[in-house]
Amino acid sequence: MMHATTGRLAGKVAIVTGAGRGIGKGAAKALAAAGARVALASRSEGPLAELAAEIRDLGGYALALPCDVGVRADVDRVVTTTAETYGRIDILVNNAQSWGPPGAKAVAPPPTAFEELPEEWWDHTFQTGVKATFYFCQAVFPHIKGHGGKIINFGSPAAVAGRPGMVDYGANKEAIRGLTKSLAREWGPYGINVNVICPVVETDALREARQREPNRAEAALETVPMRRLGDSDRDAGPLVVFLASPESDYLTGHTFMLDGGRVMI
Amino acid sequence: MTSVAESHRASHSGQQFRGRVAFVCGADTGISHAVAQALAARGARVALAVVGKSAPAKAVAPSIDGGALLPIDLRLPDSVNAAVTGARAACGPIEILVNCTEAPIEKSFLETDETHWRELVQVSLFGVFRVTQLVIPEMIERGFGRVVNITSDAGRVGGAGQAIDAGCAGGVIAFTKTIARELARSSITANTVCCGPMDDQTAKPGAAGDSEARLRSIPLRRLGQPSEIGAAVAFLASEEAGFITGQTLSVNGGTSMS
Repeated sequence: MMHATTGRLAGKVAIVTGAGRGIGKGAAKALAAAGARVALASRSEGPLAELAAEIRDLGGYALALPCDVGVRADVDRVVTTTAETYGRIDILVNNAQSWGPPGAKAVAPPPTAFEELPEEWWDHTFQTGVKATFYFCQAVFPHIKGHGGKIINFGSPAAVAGRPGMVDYGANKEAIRGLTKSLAREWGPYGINVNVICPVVETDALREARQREPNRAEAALETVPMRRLGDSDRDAGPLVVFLASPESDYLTGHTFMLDGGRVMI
Repeated sequence: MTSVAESHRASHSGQQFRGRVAFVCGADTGISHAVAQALAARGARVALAVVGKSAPAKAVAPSIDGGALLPIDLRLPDSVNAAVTGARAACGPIEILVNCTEAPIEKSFLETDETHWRELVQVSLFGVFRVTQLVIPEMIERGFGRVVNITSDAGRVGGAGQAIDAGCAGGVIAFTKTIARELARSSITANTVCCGPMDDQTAKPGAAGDSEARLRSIPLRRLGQPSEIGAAVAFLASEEAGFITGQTLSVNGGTSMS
C-alpha cells in the first residue's frame, strides 16, 4: 500500500525517467510507496502503463508519459504535463539511458573496440544520457527553483573506474557526474540538491550481458566485495528515496556508489 | 511492492531499528548526541559512550530511554573494553557501531608537537581501531553489522589548522574502506560520514562561525545541523543500505565533491 498522505514524501511530485524497467521502476515504486506522486517517463509504453496501474491500484498516484528522453520537445511535454496534472514538481530522477546502435532492441550492446565505434552510437549514447539529463534539468528548473528540490542523476562505477569496450558509455556517464557537481554548486543557493548514484544493479542490460558472456560476468562478480549484484527494489529504491527526502537536505554534489563496495572513492 | 511499502511503513513509524542495538561512541558533542537520538527515534536500543565527564550527555539520556549512557576513555584499552562490555550487558549484542571522532583544536602544523600528535592519534585513530576490533567479531557471528565512522571532510580535502586531525580522518577513511572489503562477505557494511561545516554549538570562540563570507562558500548557503548527520548515519545503518559499503559520504552542503 502507498502512503500518499502520511509518507515522508507526501505532497511531493517526482519525475522518473526510464521507469519502464530496472532501476527506474524500482525508484518509481519506492518513491510512490513513500507518498510521492510520480510521473513515469520512458519509451516503453506498455510497461509504463502497467507500472502506473500497479501504483494506482495500491492507492498511489502515477502518470504514464511515454517519451523519448533524447528529444527536447518530448521532455518539455513530460515536464509540462506533470506540472499541470499534479500542480508542482519537487524531485527529478534522471535514470534513462540507451547506448549502442540507435533504435536497437538489445538493451546492452556487446563490448565494442573504440577504433571501430560508429559515430552514431557515440551520439546516441550522449543524446539519451547527458543530453537528456541536461534537457530535464533545464525544463524542471522553473518549477522547483521557488521551493527547492532534489535532482538524482545516474553515473556508473564502470565509468568511474574505466572499462574497455564501452568508451562512449563511460565518457557519457562521467559527463553526467561532472554536470552533477557543477550544477550542485550553481543551484545550491536555490535549495536544489543534485546528487549522482553509480549503481551495479541487476537489470535487463546486465542480464543480457551475462547470458552473452557468462565467464566474464562471473569474473566481474568476483570484483564485487559483496559478491552479488544490487537489486532495483531492495537496494536502488531506498537510496533514491533517501536522496529525495529531507533527510539528505545537506548532501549535494555527492557521488553515491551503490555497488557492493566495488569502487570506493 | 508490498515489501517496499512495508519497510517504508516500518521506518516511518519509528520501528526501523526495532530489536537492534547500537553502540555510539565518541566526544560528548552535538554530533554523537544527534546520532544517538536519530537511531533511538527509529527504534534502536542505543548505548552512548562518551569521552570525558558523563554529566553533559545526561541531557540526551531521556531520548535514548531503554539504552545506556557510559563513560569511555578511548586512550585506554581497559576503558574501551569496559564500555563495550557494559553496553552489551545493558542492551545486548551490538549490531550497529558508530564511532564519532573528536572535533579538532585548530593549530598550524608547525605549532603542533609530539604530545599533541600522540593525544590525537590515540583518540581519533587508535580509539576507532580499539572499539571496532572489539565489536566486529560478534557482528561476524551474527551475520549482520553496520559500522559507520564519523570524521571530518579534512580527511578528504585537507583543512588548514587541522593537520593531525586530517591525517587521522584520512586514516579513518582508509581503515573503513579496508574493513568494508574484509567484512563484505559477512553482510557487514562499513562506511564513513564526513562532516562539513556544522552548526553543532561546539565551535570554538573566534572560529570561522557563520560569517557571510563563509556561508557564501557553501553551495547550500547554510551550516549543517547535527540531526542531518544523524539522518545520514541512520540511512547507512539501515537494512536498506546493505549494498552500500566502503563509501565516504560527505554531509557538507556541497563544499567539496569527489
